[in-house]
Amino acid sequence: MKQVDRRNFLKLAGVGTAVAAAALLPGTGLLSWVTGDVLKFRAVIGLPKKPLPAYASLVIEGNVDLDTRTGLITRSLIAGAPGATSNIAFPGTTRSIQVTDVRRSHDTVEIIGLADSTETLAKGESREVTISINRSLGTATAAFFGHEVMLAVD
Amino acid sequence: MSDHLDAPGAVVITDPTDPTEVLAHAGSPMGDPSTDITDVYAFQKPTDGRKTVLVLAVNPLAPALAKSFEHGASYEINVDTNGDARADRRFIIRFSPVEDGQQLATVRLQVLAGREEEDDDDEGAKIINEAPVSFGTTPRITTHGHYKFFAGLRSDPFFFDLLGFLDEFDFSFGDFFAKLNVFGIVLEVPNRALGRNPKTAIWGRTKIRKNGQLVNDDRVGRAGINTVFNHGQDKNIFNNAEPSQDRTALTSDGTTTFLKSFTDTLVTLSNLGGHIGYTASEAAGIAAVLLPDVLTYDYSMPANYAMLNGRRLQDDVIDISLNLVTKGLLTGDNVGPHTDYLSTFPFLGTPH
Repeated sequence: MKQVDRRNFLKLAGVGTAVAAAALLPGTGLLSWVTGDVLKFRAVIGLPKKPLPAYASLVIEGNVDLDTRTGLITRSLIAGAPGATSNIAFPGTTRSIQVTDVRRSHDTVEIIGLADSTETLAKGESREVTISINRSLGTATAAFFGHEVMLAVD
Repeated sequence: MSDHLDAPGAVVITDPTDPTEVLAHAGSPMGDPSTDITDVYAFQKPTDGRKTVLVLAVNPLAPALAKSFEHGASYEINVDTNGDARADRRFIIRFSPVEDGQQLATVRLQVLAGREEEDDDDEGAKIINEAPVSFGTTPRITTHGHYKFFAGLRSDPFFFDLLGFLDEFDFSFGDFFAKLNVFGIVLEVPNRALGRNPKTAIWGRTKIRKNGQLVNDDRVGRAGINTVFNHGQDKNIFNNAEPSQDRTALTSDGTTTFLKSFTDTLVTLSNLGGHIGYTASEAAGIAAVLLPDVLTYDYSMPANYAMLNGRRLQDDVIDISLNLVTKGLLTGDNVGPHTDYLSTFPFLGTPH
């Protein structure tokens, strides 16, 4: 297997093809208003948190239509620290989230979604997902299993 | 994640003590999974103390990321026989290209007599020739004289609550590696193949071919050292250095040695949350034990990781390490050894 192949595709051991396809990493991750009211974002945090060296990156990214309040978000736990991430997702940690509602207030966009029902959830994890994005601070807040984490928006 | 998915890309390096040299040539932060070392084990054969079992596990999440061993790469188990953290003996395992679904392995024992060789990796006595790699569930074992060899897909012997580690040490998720596989390279050798002095030091090394040249890829001695202690580019620098350079090599800031960096990390991690941890002096003493990153192994005695003597499959290296690194602040991750280890060669469990 050539290395170039591995770098081009997110490898999701033990995860279905549909989820794998949804979890393909985009080339850019800017928090930006693209066409109309579509919010496209990518947020990352290294885990474990400091002072330990980051071993993995929690990546949340997606496209959300703020007008229709729909969209698709992917949450993945990727091998490698932020800035040095691989394309390898840890098996069983990727979630495909359908957006069910969006709430906007000033600089904050709160996205509510539902994780794909075919995915097996971990202990302490809810199928209902809330991601709060603060545009001025450039942060996103979301739950990582049992604890809330603050991610930096690329 | 003893060292799972922590390998660097190919790095051509002429002076591992010069971090600018490393950074200038650093490739992908994640290397080839087939040469990504996950763990190294060394223990007496359970039924015969005159023999040693050496295990080099690679390719985390196998076979999802790589379906075969890398032809052209060099998989090595190094043995230091005189305490200078330099390889005096080296088991070199090479693999053929995959043809008709088959891959063959050759193992050589190179006796270096204290010198570091870079270009003569094809030298050494051939102790295993054209051994078939196992891609299925039944292990294909090759025996030649006093040597026994296996290479192929097996159950990952490592156990750890990885998600708990990432989720603020909430160790309640269970063993992340319970259903995962690796590629195992297992050698049973007579103790004398490790040299006359029973007090040895063992480490695994992989090299990949870059522009026709073998370059360092990954290196592992004890469990999780690089993962826990080194940040960012320091992981790559550490992987590329040789154990004899571990204490004096500089981290990516260009001024701090790895020994100092390890010392600082031990002080920080053991003093979290008001816990009374190590003093700088105590931490320096422990860092000097952890470096060089080799698996000290006295083949005249049964292995026990907690006693700094080799590593058995069932040794709870995470509990031991958490206790040590945090000075008892964290005592364990609440998961124990797998139940699928075999009592006979190749000892690694049947793949999932």
